[in-house]
Amino acid sequence: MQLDTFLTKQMLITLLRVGVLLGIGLPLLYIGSRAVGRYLKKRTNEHLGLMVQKFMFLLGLLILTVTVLYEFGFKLTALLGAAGIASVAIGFASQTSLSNIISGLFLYWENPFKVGDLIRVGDTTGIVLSIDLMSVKLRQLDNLYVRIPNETMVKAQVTNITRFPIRRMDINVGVAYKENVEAVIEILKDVADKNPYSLDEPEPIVVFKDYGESSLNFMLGIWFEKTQFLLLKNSIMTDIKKRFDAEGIEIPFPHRTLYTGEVSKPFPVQMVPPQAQTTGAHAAPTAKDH
Amino acid sequence: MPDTPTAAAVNAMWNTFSCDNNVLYQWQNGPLKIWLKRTANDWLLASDTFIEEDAQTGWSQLLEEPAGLEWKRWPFNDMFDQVALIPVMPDRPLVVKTRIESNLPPGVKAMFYVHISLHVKVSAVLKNRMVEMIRLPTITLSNTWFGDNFGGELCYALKTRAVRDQRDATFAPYRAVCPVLIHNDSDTALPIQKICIRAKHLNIYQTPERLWTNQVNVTFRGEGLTSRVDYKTTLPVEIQDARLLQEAEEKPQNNIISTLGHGFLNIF
Repeated sequence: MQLDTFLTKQMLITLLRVGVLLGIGLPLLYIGSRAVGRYLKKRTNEHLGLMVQKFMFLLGLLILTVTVLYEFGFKLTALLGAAGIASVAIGFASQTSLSNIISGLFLYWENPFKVGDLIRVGDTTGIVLSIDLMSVKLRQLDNLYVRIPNETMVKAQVTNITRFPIRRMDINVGVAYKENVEAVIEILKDVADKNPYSLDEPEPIVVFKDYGESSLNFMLGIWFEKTQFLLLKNSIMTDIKKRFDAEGIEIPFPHRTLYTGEVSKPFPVQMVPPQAQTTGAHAAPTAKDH
Repeated sequence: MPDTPTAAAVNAMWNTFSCDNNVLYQWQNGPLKIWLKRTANDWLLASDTFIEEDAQTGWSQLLEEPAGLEWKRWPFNDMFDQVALIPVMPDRPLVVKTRIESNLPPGVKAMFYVHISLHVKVSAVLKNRMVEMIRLPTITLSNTWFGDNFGGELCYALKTRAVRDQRDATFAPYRAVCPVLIHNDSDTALPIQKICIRAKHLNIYQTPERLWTNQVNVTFRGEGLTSRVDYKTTLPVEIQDARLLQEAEEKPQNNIISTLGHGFLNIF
């Protein structure tokens, strides 16, 4: 086709109209969707803002594309017919994607977490970076990037660690059987009371849990403001050890007691003098013996 | 201001001091010790809090630097040659328990005195210019939560108790007394176990006997009804000869109190 044949006056006008459409439409679409997204982020939450922003942009892009095609004279009815057939095929192929999108909507309505929360999904713990149409992105505490499909988020048990402003840290402590239980409880309460990161209210609790195999087991529960986890964890563990050492309280290793068969009698131990080890009855047989 | 021992103690603590170049100074007020030295345009500061120690040695010069100090540095363009140590209120709301649990009958007014451990604002001074360097607590207060498990506010827990008689606690130049007048203007008794005070709305005054804050008036109208709290700009009538040391960080906006139940008063 000759260029001058293609570029008729009508075609030039069409190209100009398409150019104006795209030149004004695309920036307006971009700015408009971002503005709506920002407004919704401030008014509601970041999740909804992001979703609406992307949805608006994609919808606007689709409308622009159809309009441009219409300007060029493509028959939209044929296009719609093809789209109808294609949608069936696409539907079968994109079941998982659609499930993720719908799960994303459920996540929005339920709002179990928001951007910035620390959550645990199965074995994965991380800070929520974004909640998108298809997936949730996390940054793990060791700076790994994790993408979890929304369908998985809806099906799995999700623990929002930072949902509430305060949390309780439960520390299991074992002491030797010989220790005084009331004294240990008082000491643990005092250690918690003296730690500046431990909240006075709600009060720390000490629970005498059980009689363990090798130790008396206690649980010290300390409430703290959620951002002070590491500060409390390091300081309280050190404080407990130091205080136990100062008070002479033993943190035992696992013990095993051997009995010969009678509980009351001591375990028999025979001391063998050094000479007897080489020449006596317990000496290894020599060639002469044979 | 009459020259009483307590006034002298307060003036010795909260003042502006000159600092020579490369000389080590120490300031102690209660459990808090601050070490300062100036090198030309730089200021160096170290601090520590001693749990058991409660001396008030004030400002003094040291010949030898104690071991293990962790210094912080503030470089300036100009040679600031003085340091101002000014009492300020803590940076969070304060929760204090009453010495004895009180039940305020309907129509009764009761005055409580809350002893607040102050923070110190350390500022470098050059003639009329003052540049804040750091704020430090005179006593390390523990954290506490005012609210429930789902929401609330992080506060400091005061070690002292709210008392009914201002003479109940001994004077300390790092504590200011806050008078809280509670009026039960309802038909039921009001149990008072602890009080939460927004320290940012309190001024600090000096009298010959001790440091004071402005009085806070609380009027409780009943469970579920909004109550009224007023941060007065005056002290109780019986307290005379007061000098304003430090203004409040923030003027109170709304005088509303919400009674959380179980004897908690949250004074905004």
